[in-house]
Amino acid sequence: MKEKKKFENSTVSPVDIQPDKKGISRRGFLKGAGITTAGTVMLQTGLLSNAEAEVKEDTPLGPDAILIKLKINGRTQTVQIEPRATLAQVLRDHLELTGTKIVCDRGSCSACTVWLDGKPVNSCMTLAMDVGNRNVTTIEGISQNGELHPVQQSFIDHDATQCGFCTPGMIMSSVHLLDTNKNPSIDDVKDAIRGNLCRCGTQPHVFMAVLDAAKKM
Amino acid sequence: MMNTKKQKFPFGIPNHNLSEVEREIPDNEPDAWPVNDQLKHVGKPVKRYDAEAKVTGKAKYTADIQLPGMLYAKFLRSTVPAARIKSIDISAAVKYPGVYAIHVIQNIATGAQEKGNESENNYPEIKFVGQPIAGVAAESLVIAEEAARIIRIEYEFQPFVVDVEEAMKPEAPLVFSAPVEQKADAGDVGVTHEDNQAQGNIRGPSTSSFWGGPRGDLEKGFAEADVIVEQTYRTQVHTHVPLETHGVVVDWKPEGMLVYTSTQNTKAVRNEMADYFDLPRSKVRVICEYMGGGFGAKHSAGNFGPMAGILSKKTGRPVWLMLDRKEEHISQGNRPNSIQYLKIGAKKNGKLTAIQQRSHGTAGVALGAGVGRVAQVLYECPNFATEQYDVFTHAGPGAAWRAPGNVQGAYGVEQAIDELSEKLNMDPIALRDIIDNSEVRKVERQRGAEKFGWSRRKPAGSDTGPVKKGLGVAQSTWPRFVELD
Repeated sequence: MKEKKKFENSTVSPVDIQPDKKGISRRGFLKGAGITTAGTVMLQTGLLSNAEAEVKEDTPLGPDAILIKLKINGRTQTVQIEPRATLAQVLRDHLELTGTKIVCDRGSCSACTVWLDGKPVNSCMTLAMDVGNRNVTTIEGISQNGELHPVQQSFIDHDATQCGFCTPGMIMSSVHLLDTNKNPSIDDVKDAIRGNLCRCGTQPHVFMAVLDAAKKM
Repeated sequence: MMNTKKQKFPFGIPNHNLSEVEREIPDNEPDAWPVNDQLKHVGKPVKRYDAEAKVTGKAKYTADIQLPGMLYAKFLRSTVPAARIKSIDISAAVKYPGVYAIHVIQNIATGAQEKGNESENNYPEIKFVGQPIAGVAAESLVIAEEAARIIRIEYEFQPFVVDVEEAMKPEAPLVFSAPVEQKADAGDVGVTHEDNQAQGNIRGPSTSSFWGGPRGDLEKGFAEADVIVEQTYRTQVHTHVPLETHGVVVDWKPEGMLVYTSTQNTKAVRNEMADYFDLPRSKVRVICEYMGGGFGAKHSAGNFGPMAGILSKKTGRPVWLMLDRKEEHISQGNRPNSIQYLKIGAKKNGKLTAIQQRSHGTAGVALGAGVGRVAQVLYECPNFATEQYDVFTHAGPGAAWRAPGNVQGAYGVEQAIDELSEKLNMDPIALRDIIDNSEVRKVERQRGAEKFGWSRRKPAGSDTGPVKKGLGVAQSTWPRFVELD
């Protein structure tokens, strides 16, 4: 329970919470914080099982910072993080990959959507140390060799952005859809971005942009 | 004498009554533009100039700003709705590894303020859950959060009231015990009023706007009516929920203060920060390259601006202070609720004879819960009066939200007009065509009716299922649109 309390996203009563003296086992964390996904639902068990096998179960990690390697957008990078750091925090605060947005910080809005091995996840609900060997793709990795991805170009052509804060997450969900479904219906598009909350109301233009991009790919 | 020339201008509503008018304009004015379809750029789609930055993730919002040596700050907020703070113990938090500075607030910068009531206490009275108490700057956000949590506060609890109707009762706990004043916010929360008519937690009424005061004679108007609708409508509190929360990055330097902030109003933020820190305005630079939504609530430096400024000044480092989602909901503005009593009288032919409006709403610890000017200006009616009251509750302050008050007001008025159309056995659009003088809105209703397929509408009450579906109509206005009419 003590570990869990640390993750509560609030500035509630000034309860005296000291850092854990013993350190926190990886296993305890996994029980406390699950991974949910963005537009595409995945069962968390399948996702975690690979990573779990790679770490000895009795190795305590933290609370001090640890070194991990992350494969991000095709490059392997070493970062020093606290074991409790989420992937979203590490991307933004340590690697300056700020295209990934933190909006709700609780897996409800998909603004922080990145891919792990090509599958969309909420990076705010993914511990960075759980990523393991999997390839992380962020919005910064979607355009290749300076060329916009057709979905990105289509978002521009169809004016599918307003304030733009949900846009990276929208694009991560949309590109994943077209990677897995070359000829989607509008219902497929709605399904793919159903987790991506947009407060400005860009959804109709996003539908047009994704359907049009599918035709051009 | 200025030389003038006569020019013909397109005038009217396209595809409806577009014509030309001749106007006399100064000689040096450019010629009148043709209508849009003869223009190269106006009326044609253009690409957003910043769209590429947005779709690639390169756009730097305030939350994304990272400066060398930057610290992260976190507010400690009240967990109780009403209290006096007896003591604040920051001794453990100050020693917490990674903490650079802690500031305990002595003045609250938003909401209504009691006039000339300087408390002997060192700390402001707590009036809502989420009221900022202190701020911590640390080398990471989690350290700032942890240090904020180990600040010990000794509260002396006070009675509180958060329900608007409870707050209206004479015996309700008072949110403010002295007269209050509220600084004007550039967001324009609509009609407010002098504080001279106070009754418990109730302030007001506002009875006029810049469209004037009451007109005609209500009693006479209702006596002339064939049909009267009398009803009370309610709307709830809404929170703005911009995807990017309120916040700043402040870099205090001896030569001037640099403020990155998510704002709709860089000028207002500059002025507030300059006033707060007693700096000339030329020494405060406010930058907002991208804003992740504002919806009316982002017109001010709030408490977060001064807090980050103080922490940056104290530490000599840039300070990042963005609110989290919960803070955004409870402390950073909302659209007040409303309880609107409406009485509308009409003749059998639909012509309105009288509109009476009386509203109560709460903007928490702030003023500005009026329901706008819709009832006053939307429809032709010779007899009109409104009384709009603010009710204080122990809750976070309201803020402007895209046509403040008018959204709630339009909802109530339009519900009543629909009920009137039922009583008169008239189509809701046909009734509006009779009572609404605006040619623009008439054309809008026609075009909307075509697009919606209004002709397939069934009368109210046709759907007998537990979940009822149907078609309806409602409209609104905003002063600047009225002027353009």
